[in-house]
Amino acid sequence: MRLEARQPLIGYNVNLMARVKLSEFRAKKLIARQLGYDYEGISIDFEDNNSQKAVSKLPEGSYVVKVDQATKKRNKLGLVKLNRSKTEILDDVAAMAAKGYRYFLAEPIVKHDTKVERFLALMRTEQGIEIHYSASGGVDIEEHPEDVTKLIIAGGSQKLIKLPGLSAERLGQLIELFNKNHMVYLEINPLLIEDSQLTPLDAAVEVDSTAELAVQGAWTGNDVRSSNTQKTDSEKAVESLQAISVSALTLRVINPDGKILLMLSGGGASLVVADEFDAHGLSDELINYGEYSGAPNEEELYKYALATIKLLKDSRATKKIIVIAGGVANFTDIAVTFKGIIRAFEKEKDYLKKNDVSVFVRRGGPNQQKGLTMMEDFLIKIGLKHKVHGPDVSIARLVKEVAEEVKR
Amino acid sequence: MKFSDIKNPAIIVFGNHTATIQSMLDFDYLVGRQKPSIKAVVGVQQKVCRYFFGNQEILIKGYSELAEVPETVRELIEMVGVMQSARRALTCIEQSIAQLPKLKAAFVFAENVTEQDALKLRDISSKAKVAVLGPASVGILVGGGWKLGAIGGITPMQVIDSGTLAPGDTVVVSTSGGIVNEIINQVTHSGGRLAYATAIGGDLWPATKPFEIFKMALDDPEVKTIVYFGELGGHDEEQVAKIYSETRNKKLVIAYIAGSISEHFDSPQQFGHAKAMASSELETASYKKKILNEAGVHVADGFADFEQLINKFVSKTKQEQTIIKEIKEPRMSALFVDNISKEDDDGVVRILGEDILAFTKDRSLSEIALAMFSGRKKSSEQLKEFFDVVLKLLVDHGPQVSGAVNTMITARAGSELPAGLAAGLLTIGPRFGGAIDQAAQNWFAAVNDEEKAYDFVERFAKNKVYIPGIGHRKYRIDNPDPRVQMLLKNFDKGGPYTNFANEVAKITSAKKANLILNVDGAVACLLLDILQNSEKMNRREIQLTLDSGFCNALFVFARSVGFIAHFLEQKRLDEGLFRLPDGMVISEEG
Repeated sequence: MRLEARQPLIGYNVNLMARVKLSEFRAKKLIARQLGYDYEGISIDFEDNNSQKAVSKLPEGSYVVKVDQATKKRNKLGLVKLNRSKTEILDDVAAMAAKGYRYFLAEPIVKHDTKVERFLALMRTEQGIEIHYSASGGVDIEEHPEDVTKLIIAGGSQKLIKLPGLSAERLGQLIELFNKNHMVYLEINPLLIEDSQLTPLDAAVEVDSTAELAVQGAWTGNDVRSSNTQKTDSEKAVESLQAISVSALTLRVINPDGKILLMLSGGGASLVVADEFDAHGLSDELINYGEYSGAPNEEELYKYALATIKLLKDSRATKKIIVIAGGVANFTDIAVTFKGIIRAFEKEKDYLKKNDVSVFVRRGGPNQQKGLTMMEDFLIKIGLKHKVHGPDVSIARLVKEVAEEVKR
Repeated sequence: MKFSDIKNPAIIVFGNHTATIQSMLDFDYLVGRQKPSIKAVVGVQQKVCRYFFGNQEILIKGYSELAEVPETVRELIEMVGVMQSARRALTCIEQSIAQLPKLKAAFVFAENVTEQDALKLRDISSKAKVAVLGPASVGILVGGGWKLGAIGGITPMQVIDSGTLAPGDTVVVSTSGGIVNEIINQVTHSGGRLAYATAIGGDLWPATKPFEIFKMALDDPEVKTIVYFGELGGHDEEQVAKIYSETRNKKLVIAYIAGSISEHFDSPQQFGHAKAMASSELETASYKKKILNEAGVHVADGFADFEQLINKFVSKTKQEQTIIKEIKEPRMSALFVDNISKEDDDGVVRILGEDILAFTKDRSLSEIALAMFSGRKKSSEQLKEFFDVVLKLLVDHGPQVSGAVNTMITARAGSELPAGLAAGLLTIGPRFGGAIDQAAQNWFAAVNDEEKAYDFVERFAKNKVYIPGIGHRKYRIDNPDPRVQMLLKNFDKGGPYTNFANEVAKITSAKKANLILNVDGAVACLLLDILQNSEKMNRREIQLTLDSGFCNALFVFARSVGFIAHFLEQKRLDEGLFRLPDGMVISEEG
């Protein structure tokens, strides 16, 4: 009964204010530190050669090897290997990496009686921390929802609560772990409890990404995992751009062979633009969805625009349209951001001209006059078909114009 | 409570967010308010922040902490705008609730406030019954009333075009800060006017939720229409639908829910706002549209439809927006702030705001100097008397001291008086004449840090540094400095600084008989006590006075008399160029 977890638009991006998943490795490290024991597993990054050295340092024994990338239904997908010898670990990793995975976990197998498997989940809600617990947990918990005890510990409550088999002291430690590390979701299933010793066989943690500084390195952006494994080069390029930026830059491919490339800005307005295309029945023609916001600089916009234009070039559609749209910015400088986009257009102008790409713009905000004029002058200069609007033309009308162009 | 009940708010802003603050002041001016609504900017190092009220430049007081804002101001404040970092947001609201008894509403601009802080924010603000918008909100705007935050636009042109300067009967609620202005424009360009507009912010746990604004609007007989912009993610619309279907005060509600695009992705997507993600069917845009529709809300199919619905159904008020006041841009900012004196257009010189003849009529020269040095027209009798006595004592100290020697040499070299005086003044610093200033800084820091006199002495001894204000070349414990005795006799009222200085001197003079409290040290500690007890200055004001160089001013002003006197006499005697006699300078080589 793992709850539907939130998945970030792109992976490894902590600047995005949202809930993100941590690796199982980091989750278990944090739990072990809190409960006062050593976690003996290791994390393996397939793209990092040092990982092999870490494997060679492991003692002989029997291991579990699994994909550690916030992937659901790992057992079913064959992404968990049991009872592996030390020498088999790297073979397993290579085999699973061939399916597109990059991060793995290897840990000593824990022999136990399935009767002592329990289920525990903590969730941050408005009322406090919601606890789900079952003394007869394990992987089959979904089939026995009636066994699950649910209770809420209100924010700041010091009341000690004891659950069957789980002491108040241990639960208190887990709540401390949860708050200290700004977790929003913690699931341990199965959880072994023997002689008041807690052993998590599997652990899933989501954290509040806005707390990255507050946790002072307990977890970092490097521990964030996304189950999206099939990323295009453009998405990866934007991801690495985002990783070092204080602004927000996101990109996600919808239909690689679509006709319409979006460069959107502003949280609400971006959604509105995409929805409007949907309302015109054009969602299948969108190559991508992506936003830039939080006043990115010219260089960032230049690189961002280049990454998105690459998607346009890769699309097999014959008609190609670029839409630069957004609301009326409160603080993002329109001239600065447009300058970056114009530079990217300049670099790709031969392609844009040859393929008769048309450009539709609608944007407002600080320095809008300068930015819009600059954009229009440039598009006239290189001879691209275009429409450039300020905030007097509504988002809906811009999308209508584009829709007419698509259908023409 | 409803926002439109706040008629003429007094506001404190945390963080000097110039564009936003200026736009709030422009709104004040354009709706015809006589005085700026913003009374102070907190969380800044500047003592004054420069803004325009209309076309006139004004200064708004700046403070580093809310507690430093005078209580008389704090008790008037009804709203705060928090534009500091995410890290500070919760503290700002906590302090505001604790220190501002009339606080009714606030907004928090910061993005990336942690979930734990956001939940606490909602908890404390609902307990205190303060309507806090945000985190990640662009604010609240009451049509024809006031503007808290960037909402409605940040340039005068945007504010005027937004059509929000006249009151109305439509309420706008938006989870998106960027879109809220687009909706406001659509409402006003359709002939409607705002009762108020609020930006909820796109975070997971906003301090005020959409249904709470709905409740406020539904209970308000003056409101006719509510326009709502929501997004996928969360369950806010369930509460809105519930409250709307249960209310007897039906108003026309027009809503748009963004995020239908999300349903074209294979797995749930996180969009720009933290809450904008549909993890389950119940969080999708289509589900939200469905339940709002069932509750009787006019739900738009798309944004074009939304605009048409607003155009068609929004309450058309008769209220015209007439602009009586004009803001001429660009507005020129002054290069200096100066409150000491000015020459008015009529040629009259005013000192501290008063005609120079009136200002000088009943004041002695030392009283004039004190008023101008401190920038305060009124001072206590105690300070006036002390200042006068000290000036007199500092007027000269014989021709051998560095400054006087320099002045005399310059005079004999044939230079003019300004050069001679400057030559003398240039020697004033850490070793000559600057001891009052240093002693005052030391006494002040030690007393406020509650350092023990013994530790203080040991600290200097350990660092092998003389204690400024302690020690004399000739006077000793058994042969005290009569000037110090006179000062202590007349001005020592047992204040903490003088007590501390005396304790220090007791320890040092026990070590060596000439390490007594000297005239610099005595002036310093007595001055501090007078500033604190007679002038009623707080710690920050005293620190500011010290840091401005007030103690050096005393010395420079007084001793200039001495230097000038030495200069003039050298000129009268006219002994010719001075040169050190041979043998007066030796070198290490011998």
